[in-house]
Amino acid sequence: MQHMPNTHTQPDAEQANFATQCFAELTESAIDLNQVLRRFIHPQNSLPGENAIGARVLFSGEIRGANHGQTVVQLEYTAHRSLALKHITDVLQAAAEKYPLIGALCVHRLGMLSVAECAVAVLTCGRHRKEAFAANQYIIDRVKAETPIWKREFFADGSSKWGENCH
Amino acid sequence: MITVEIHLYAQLRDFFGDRLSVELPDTSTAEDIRAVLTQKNALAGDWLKVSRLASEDAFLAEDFPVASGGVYYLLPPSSGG
Repeated sequence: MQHMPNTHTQPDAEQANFATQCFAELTESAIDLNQVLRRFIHPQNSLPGENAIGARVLFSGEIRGANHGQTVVQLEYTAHRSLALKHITDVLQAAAEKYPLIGALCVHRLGMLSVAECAVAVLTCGRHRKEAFAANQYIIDRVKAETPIWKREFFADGSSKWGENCH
Repeated sequence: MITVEIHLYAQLRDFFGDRLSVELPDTSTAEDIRAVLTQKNALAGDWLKVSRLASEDAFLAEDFPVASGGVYYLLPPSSGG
């Protein structure tokens, strides 16, 4: 399930005359970080202003092998799919309004994941590292706190625990 | 009376399962759905208090008038990422 790339016109005329490309996706498949990293430079996804990219920040949120002092064996993500996708898209567009970005992407896994798998990836591309780093943190913080997605951790002793809101 | 279908997520599934139908007075709101569910299982009260009602594509205000045959979603605080 994905939202096709949306464009958001940069409000800051000093930065560049291009639109920020935003891409949100929910997936049951493994997230390929190499593919994510290449998202805005693949020839088929060429952007107006593509040559302006000077900083590319990739965040990968991954499944820890221990939490609450217990050994984690698996983690399950569920979502209100349509609202979650809409919310992630809104967050990307808000980031594009707040920071002079060239591209912004967020992919979130759903279903059962194993330790060390990527649960969420955020890619931000800008002219400079400052906006790429800041926008990346802005996006992941809001996605974790607000998007209607829930995780349940399954522990080695057979117990499980729903995740709580992280800020 | 009207009947609505409620889909539940996360901690609320431990109390009610994935979904259930509830009967409500004709002029009920989102807030009334929470009250009826709290009556069904008081142990879920703390989670119901912090959960928001939504439709398929939007969060709903507390005074949103629910419709007969409507499908609604009760969303506890997020824990993604």
